[in-house]
Amino acid sequence: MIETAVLPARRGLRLPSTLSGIAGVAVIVVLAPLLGVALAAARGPWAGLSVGTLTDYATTSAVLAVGVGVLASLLGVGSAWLVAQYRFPGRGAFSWLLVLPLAAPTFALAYGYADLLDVAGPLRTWLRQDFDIEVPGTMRSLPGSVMVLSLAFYPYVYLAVRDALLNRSSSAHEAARALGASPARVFWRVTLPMARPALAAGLALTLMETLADYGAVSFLSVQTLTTGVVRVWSVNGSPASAALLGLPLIGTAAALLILERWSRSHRAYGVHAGGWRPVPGRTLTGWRAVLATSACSLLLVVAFILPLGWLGWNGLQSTPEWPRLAAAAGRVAALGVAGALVATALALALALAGRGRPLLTRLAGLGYATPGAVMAIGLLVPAGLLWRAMPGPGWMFGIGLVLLIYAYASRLMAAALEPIASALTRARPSMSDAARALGRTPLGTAWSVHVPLASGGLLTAALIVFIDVVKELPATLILRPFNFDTLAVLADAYARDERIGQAAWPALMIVVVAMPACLWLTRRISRARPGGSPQGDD
Amino acid sequence: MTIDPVLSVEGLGFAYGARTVLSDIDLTVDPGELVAILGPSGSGKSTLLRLIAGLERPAGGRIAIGGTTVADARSSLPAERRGLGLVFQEDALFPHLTILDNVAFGLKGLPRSERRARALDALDRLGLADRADDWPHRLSGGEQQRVAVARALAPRPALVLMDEPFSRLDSALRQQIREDVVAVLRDTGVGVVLVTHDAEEAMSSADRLVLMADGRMLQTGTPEACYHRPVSVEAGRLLGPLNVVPVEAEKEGVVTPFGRLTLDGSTTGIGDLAFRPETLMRSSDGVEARVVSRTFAGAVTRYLLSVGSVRLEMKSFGADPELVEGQTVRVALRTETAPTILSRDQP
Repeated sequence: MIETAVLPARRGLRLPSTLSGIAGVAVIVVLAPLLGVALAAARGPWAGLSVGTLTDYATTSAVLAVGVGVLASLLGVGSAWLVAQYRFPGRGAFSWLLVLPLAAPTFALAYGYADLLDVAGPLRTWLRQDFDIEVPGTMRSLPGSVMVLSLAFYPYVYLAVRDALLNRSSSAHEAARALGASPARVFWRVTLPMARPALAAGLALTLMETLADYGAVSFLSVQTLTTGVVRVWSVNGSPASAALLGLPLIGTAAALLILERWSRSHRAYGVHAGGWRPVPGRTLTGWRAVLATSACSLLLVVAFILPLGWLGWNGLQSTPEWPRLAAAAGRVAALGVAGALVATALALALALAGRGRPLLTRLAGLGYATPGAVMAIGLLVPAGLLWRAMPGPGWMFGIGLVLLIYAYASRLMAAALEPIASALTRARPSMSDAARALGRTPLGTAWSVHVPLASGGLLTAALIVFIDVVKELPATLILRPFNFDTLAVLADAYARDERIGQAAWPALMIVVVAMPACLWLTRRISRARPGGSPQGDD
Repeated sequence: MTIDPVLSVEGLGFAYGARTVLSDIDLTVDPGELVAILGPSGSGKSTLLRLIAGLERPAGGRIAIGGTTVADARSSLPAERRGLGLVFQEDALFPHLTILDNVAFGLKGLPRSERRARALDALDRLGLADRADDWPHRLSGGEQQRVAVARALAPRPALVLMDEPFSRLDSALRQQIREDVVAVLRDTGVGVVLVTHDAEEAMSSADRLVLMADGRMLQTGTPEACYHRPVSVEAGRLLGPLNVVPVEAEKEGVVTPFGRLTLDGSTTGIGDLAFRPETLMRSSDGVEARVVSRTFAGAVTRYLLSVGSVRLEMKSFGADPELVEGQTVRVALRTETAPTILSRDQP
C-alpha cells in the first residue's frame, strides 16, 4: 500500500512538478518568439533590405539611444536631486507629479509637439508674424525624436535615482561630514557615487523603451531598427527581413538587461543593516527656492501639460467619432484584462518556481527587454502555420486574438514578475514547510499560502500589465485581426492621415486611464521598498 | 507484546552534493517520549528533523513512523502524507489567516463546526482560546509559538517535531513558556523530537538526549547519564564546562592529581579524567591549588584554579571570601558522583 504512495527519490528536486511545469511553459512562452525571430531571419529571403538600409537604421537607433540616454539622464538626475536633496515649495507634489509622463504613450507627446512646433504651427507663426523670428529645424527629425522620448522616459531615471537618494543611509553621510567634508563634497564624493547603480538601472530601462518605441518615432518620420521592422513587414511583407532587423535589437536588449541586473546587484550598497534614517533635506529659501520650484514646474509643463494640453485643445476643435472610439476602448479593455490575467498567472508560476533559480527570471526579463514589434515578428512564423492549418476564416479572428494576448504575456511577464516576487518575500520557507506538514500538497500550499500572501503583488502586477497593454502599439499593429482597432491603433491611423484633432481623443483616453493607475503604482511601489516612504521610517 | 516506537530511524545518511551532512544516525522515539537532539549549529540536527518530516530525502538508511517505512534510499513519502506535527523557530504562522484559521489549517475533511471545535480545543490547551479571532502579528513572540504548537497538535499527530521552538523568545519568558508547552505535550501523550542548541533546555525537558556534532551521533541516554558520564570530551562539553585531566590508569587504580582512585572499567594506559566543575570542592585533605581568577555570577561563583600544570574550573554556591586571586587552597573531588575515565584510544 505504501508503495503506491511513495514518490521516486530524486535528489535535489525540491520543487513541485506541476509548478515547475507551468514555470517551464512560462519560460517557453517568452523564448519561443525570440527563437522564431532567429529562425525567420536565417531563412530569408530578405526583401526590401540592403546592407545600406540596415546600417542606416542601426545608426539612427544608436544615435537616438545615445541622445535620449544623455538627455533623459540629465532631466532625471536633476529632478531627482532637487526633490531628494532639498525642501522647497511644491516639493511634496512634484515628487509624485514628475512621474506623470509615464502615463502618456510616447505618440501622444509626439502628436502634441509635432503640431505645436510645426513650421505652420501656432508658436512659430506667432514668432514669425509678431517678432519676425524664423526658428530653424523641425520636430519631424532625429533631434525632435530625442526630445520627445527624453521627456517621455526621464521618469525611469528620476524614480530610480530619487529612491536611491532618499533611501541612502544617513550614517555614511554623517561619517563623511564628521571626517570634515563640506556638504558639496559629500554630494559629489558620497551621494552621487552611491546613486550610480540606480542611475544605471533607470538608464537601462530608458534605453530599452527608446529602442522599442514605434509610435512616436515613426510619426516623427525617423527610421530606426524598430520602425524598420514594422515597415519592412507591412510594406514588403517580408517577415524574414523584419526578423533580420530584429536580431540586433534582441542582442542590445540582452546587453541592457545584463547592465540592469549588474546595477541591481550593486544597488545593495545603498542598503545597510542599521535603521533607515532619511537624510534631512536642506530647506531652500529666497531665489533658490523660486529656482527649484520653477525648474520642476517647467519640466512638468514641458513633458506633460504643454504637449497633452495642446493635443487636447486640438481634440476639442474636432468632432470625435464616438462609435469607433467606444468600440476601440471596449476592445483594448478586454485585451488588457485578458493579457493581465495570462501574464500574471504565468508570472506567479515563475515567481513560485523561480525562487532560488535566477536564470528563469532573467530569461523572462529578456522578453521584457525585447521590443514588442520584434516579439510580434517572432510570432508570425507559428502564426503562419496556424493560419494555414485553419479550417475557416472565422478562426482567423480568434487566432489573431490569441497571438496578441500571447505577445503581451511574453513581453510583460517580467514586469508582472517583479511585484509578485517582492510580495512573496513575506512567505518564509518555514510557512510552506508547515503547510506541507499539515497535509497540503505543494500545489495546495501554493494556493492556500502563497497566493493569498502575494495578493497585493498580484493586483499590482495585473495593473502594470493592463496599463502597458492599453499603451501598446507596434505588436498590436502587426498581430491584430483585420480591422481590430485598439485606442493606440486608432490614434496611429488618425495621425497618419494628419487628423491630429481626431487622434487626440484615443491618445488622451489612454492617458486618462493610465494616469491614476500610474500614480497609484508609483506610490505603492516606492513605499514597498525598504525605507521607501520618505516619512515612514522608524 | 512490545509497543511500536512512533519513530524509528536506522542508519540514516544525507548529503548536499559532495558534502556529507548526516551519517549513520539511529534514533527511536517511543509513544509519549520526549527526545531532545542537542548539537552546535551545523551539526546536522535540523537536517535530521527535516528528513523525518519529509522535507528532504535521505541518501541512505530508513525512517519508519508508527512501524511503517516512510523513507529509504529509494523512495520518500512526501511531507503532507506523514501526518506529523511541525513547529519552527519563527515566522511560520500564516499571516493572512486568523489564529483560529491557522490552527484549523491542518484539519481537512471535517465539517466546519467540527474543525472549529477542534481548533478551539487545541488553542484552549495552550491557554489561547480568547485570542482565536486575532491576527498573528498582534501576538507576542511567546503567544505565536504557543499558537504554532496548537496548530501542530490540532490534527492529533503521534509525533511532533520541534526545531528550536523557544530560541527566539526573551530569556525571561523562555523558561515559563517552555515549561507550559512541555506540560501540554506530556499531557497529550504525543511523541516529541525537540531540536535545540540549548543544553539546559534539552536536559530539563527531555526524557532522553541525543548529542550530535558534525553530522554524527556522539551519545544518547538520559540527561543525567549524558551529563555525568560523557563518552567523549566533545560530548561532555556540549552539556556544559568539563574539567579534563590527563591520567594514567594502572591495575591498582587511576593515578590522578587527587590521588589514586578506583573506578569502574578496567582500562589501563593513558586516558582523561573528566568531571564537572561543581564536583570539585574545598577540602582540607585535598590537593593544593592556586586561585587564578574568580568570576561572580549571582547564585554561583566560578573559579579558575591551577593544580600543578593543570587548569581546573570549580563552581560553587555563594562566594567564598577566602578564594581570591593568588590564594592557595586545598580542593578535592566530591564522592557522590564518580568522575569518568575517557580512554585516549577511542575516537
